[in-house]
Amino acid sequence: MKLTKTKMIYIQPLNQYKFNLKSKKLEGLARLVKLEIPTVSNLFIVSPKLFLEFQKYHRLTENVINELRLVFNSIKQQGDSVTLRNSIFEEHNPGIAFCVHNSLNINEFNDLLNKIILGYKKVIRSAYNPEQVEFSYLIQSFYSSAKVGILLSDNGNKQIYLQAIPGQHTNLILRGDMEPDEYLIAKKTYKIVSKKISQKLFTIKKLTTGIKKIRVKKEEENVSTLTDDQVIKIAKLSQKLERAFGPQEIECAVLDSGKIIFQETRDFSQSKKVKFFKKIEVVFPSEVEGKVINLSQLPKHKIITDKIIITRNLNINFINKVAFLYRPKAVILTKGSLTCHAATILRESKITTLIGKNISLEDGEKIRISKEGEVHRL
Amino acid sequence: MKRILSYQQIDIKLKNVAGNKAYNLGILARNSIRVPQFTVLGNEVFNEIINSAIIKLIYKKILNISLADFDKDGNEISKILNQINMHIGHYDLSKTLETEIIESISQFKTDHFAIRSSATGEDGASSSFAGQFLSLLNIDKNEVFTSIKKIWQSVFTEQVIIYCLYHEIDFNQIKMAVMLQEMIMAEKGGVIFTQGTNNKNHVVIEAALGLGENVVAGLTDSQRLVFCKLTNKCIEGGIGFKKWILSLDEAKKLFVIAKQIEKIFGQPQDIEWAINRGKVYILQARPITK
Repeated sequence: MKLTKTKMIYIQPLNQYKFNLKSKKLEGLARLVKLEIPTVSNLFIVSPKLFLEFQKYHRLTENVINELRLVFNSIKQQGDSVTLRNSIFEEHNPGIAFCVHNSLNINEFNDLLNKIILGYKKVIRSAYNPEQVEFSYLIQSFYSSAKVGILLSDNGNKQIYLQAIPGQHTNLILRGDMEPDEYLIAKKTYKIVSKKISQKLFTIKKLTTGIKKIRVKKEEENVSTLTDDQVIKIAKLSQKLERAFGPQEIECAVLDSGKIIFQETRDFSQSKKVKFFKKIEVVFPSEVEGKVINLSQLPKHKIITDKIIITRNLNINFINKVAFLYRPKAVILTKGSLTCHAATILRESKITTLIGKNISLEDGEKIRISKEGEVHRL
Repeated sequence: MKRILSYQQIDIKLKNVAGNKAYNLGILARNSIRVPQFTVLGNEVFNEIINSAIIKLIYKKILNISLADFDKDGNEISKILNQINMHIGHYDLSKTLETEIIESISQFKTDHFAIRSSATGEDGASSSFAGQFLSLLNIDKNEVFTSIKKIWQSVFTEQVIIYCLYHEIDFNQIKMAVMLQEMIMAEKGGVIFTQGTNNKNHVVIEAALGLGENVVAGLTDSQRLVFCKLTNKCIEGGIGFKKWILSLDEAKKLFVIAKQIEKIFGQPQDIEWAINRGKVYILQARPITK
């Protein structure tokens, strides 16, 4: 029975799916579909409604199993094995997106069913409020790629930055397991400005016997992963996305057939503006850059001279010592107001000072403060 | 010789005895701006104390402290300050002086008082000493004498020395007078800047429930309104206005008074205010330091 003639309630092919979800992954896929950028073929999205039903009935119903079987068989009939990916979103619980691993190279239907059920059960245990979780599965062909890459459509210097390795998994780049080749491409001219070719000793490939780590041939160890033509094609596609959605971080692949696809895309900004709950007030304006340190009391040693202090401690003795003895690059008060004593003292000390309630930055984060009081993560 | 000055007596000749805070408030009172009733214990008593034999020797050590000493001799500096403050604490006010003080505050309509610092050098155009000295609020008659000593003791703190050293203010020039004020039980209080940090035509009003102290010490969230001096309109906090602490009428009243005060002093002002039973009191006014 062909999929197109069967009414599917829970599962839709990518190009028919009505995207209206909070998940960044699915939003990225929607962008690729919208701009008709080649992506993974044979990709089906399992609706989050199924997860809610599963919580209600604690099992998959016969109708659902039939839909899944149809999808599974349609992929297998094309000679591919199946990959099960997921997209999980819960408000204020970003960790939940990583609690269910992707499953690759699934060849048995029962295997697929078991993994789906296990994933649902795991999220039910891990979520703050399972009924509020948006959980979609992505069922797709496990494709064999010759090369994979990660790309920034703008590296902050009007250039496209591309990393690539031979084989199957962008995780090898993301985790730092493999040193990738690097390419810089000028945005205006698509000229390859520079290349850095790394030595490649192994790669991950899909073989008939499964996914294997294989040794790269000696003569290929120092060969560029991508041809110039492939680099430029990928760069041009990335700009199509950027023109529509702003700077993007993109995972791409070159299939064994030579076809270029984009697997995922997400927003990326080289310098992220930190938006705070309330407007930041500028007490003493000037532009500075530095690393953040959260302080509630004075440190034993003068380690804060080159730092940007964040504090809610408005005690005058503390503020005096910070302002006049320690002299940090800047102070961000998360309490008080323009007219409070602490603000007056800091203004008199001519240290860049902002007031931003609900500002939350980690120790060691590097930021830039503009004269207008904008805070940029670097 | 009387040590207590009424606000009417504080002219330019007595500014160095009464301190800047009292002097500024006296100017406002003479210009028909409502201020709490107050008298001032001039700084001659403070001068006598620090020139007494027992304190003079220790006091000289303070004049030799530098900013670098705070890195190495944190404990040594504390010891010196503690010694001076101990002697101030043990200082006996003369019976005559005590009588003068009680007489001066008995004329107030309240039975609780605000005891505030008024130092020479304080509330200046280039150095405000904001928050450096002590102010004690809601003081009972029985606590007035110890409170006065606490105000004197607040001169001898690390924070004041660091402030003076950084701003290159001669510590020896800090002479502490003490303001004895009727306590205004503020229903609402706060601060006004008659010039915004980014726009000199803005008047920024910040208000909190209760004492203005809550705003200056950053103890509570404050309501904020901004007025434009050119158009006399409320440009922030007024649109879709919801009464939180101040009504728009109250805010307008404060705006008008703030402009008057700025005109009196001829420069932008940092003003502490309180509202009690519909009346606005100005508690303090000093230049906004650049």
